[in-house]
Amino acid sequence: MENGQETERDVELNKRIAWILRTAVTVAFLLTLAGYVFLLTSTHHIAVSCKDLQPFPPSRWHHSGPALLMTALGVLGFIAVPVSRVVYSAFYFLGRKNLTYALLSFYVFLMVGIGILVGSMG
Amino acid sequence: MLSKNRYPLPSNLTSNLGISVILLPFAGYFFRTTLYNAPVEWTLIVAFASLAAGFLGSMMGIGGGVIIVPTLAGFLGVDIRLAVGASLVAVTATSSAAAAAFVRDKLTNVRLAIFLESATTTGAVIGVMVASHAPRRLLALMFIAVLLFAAYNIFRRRHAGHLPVGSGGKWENRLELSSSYVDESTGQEIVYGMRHIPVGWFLMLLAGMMSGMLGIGAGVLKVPTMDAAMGLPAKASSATSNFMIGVTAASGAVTMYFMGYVNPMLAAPVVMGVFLGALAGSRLMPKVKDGRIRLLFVLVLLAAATEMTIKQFKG
Repeated sequence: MENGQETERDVELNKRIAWILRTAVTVAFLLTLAGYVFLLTSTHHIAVSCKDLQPFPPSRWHHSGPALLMTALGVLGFIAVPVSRVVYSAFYFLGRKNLTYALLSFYVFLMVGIGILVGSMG
Repeated sequence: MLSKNRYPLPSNLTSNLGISVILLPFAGYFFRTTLYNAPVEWTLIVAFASLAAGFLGSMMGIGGGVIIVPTLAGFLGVDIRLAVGASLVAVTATSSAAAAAFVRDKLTNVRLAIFLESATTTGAVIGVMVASHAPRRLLALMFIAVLLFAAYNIFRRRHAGHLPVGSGGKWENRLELSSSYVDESTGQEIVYGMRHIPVGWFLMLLAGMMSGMLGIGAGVLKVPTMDAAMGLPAKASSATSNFMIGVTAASGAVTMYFMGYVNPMLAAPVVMGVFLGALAGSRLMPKVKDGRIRLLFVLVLLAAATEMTIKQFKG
């Protein structure tokens, strides 16, 4: 980038990342919405009050109905979006032989993974 | 012979009628079954609070946890672990929803975000590792002091312009960090550089550590670092912070998810609310002047400092 003017490469990267984010977030939103509507219309899975809400660990997943699982999958989709964007950036920069940003992106992905491991152990 | 199209109905009317006829039974069933359920009340409260959080979060470049956690835990009496879990997912949702628009409009500096994410994610890992040994009360007091200092500096810079390209010297050139965008509020193309890049990276490392140690979103520290310390335009700081916070929050959100602290019944209205709020905020933010964004951010920083202070007094 010279004198602050964006090169075609940056414009392409911005367009692609915007498309990935928009598509992934829309899919996650629709999945969550569909799951939650089913959840509200099926009375036996509903907590009457906020105070009744309990943790929802993986051990309880197989006892849950499809509506709750669909909602959970939609929510997980939202979490996965930023991470998938980092992975995409890494491969994008690798493909353009920009090793500095490819390595930085892979490093960020690695740190997110280590963060999950450390958090799970703590 | 009667013509089929002798009295044609407007095509949009027929299609709207068709859609209404198909949707009515579903809508009726949905409202009949849900209106008699108590969850609708708290779902609406949660969704509206999340809408506000997403709106403010996308405008300011913060996650919106400042609104979500007190509403869920304080007002609705939700288990604090579930409130924090939902809040972390909300940060990823706000970040992704708003970033899609900001990246498209080139407000987000993607290269700077990747460079600084290497600091925040490293800091977050260090923060989580040392969290159990850290003097939390002292950290919280330091955090409050930093928020007030940042508020003062941003207030001082409320009329400041942008730095010219090359202000960051060899770091800016080598990492190709300067960028440009069209400011919708003035119609001008803003071509900007930045200063103190290594200092900014180090401050982001500290922001990440604070995030890991105190279990808070670091958006309120990221924006001041880019705005006050590195001299970025307010919109670029806000949009780039928005882009980054999702990644910082993702590892915490995944951990909470698999520990069971992300209950889909609570997290779903939260993420849907922040998603819609973030879409609205990301449409409005480019039209607002930099000075107003900075003033609004000062108010957010003061609110966050007040909330943290109250928490400390309550013990």
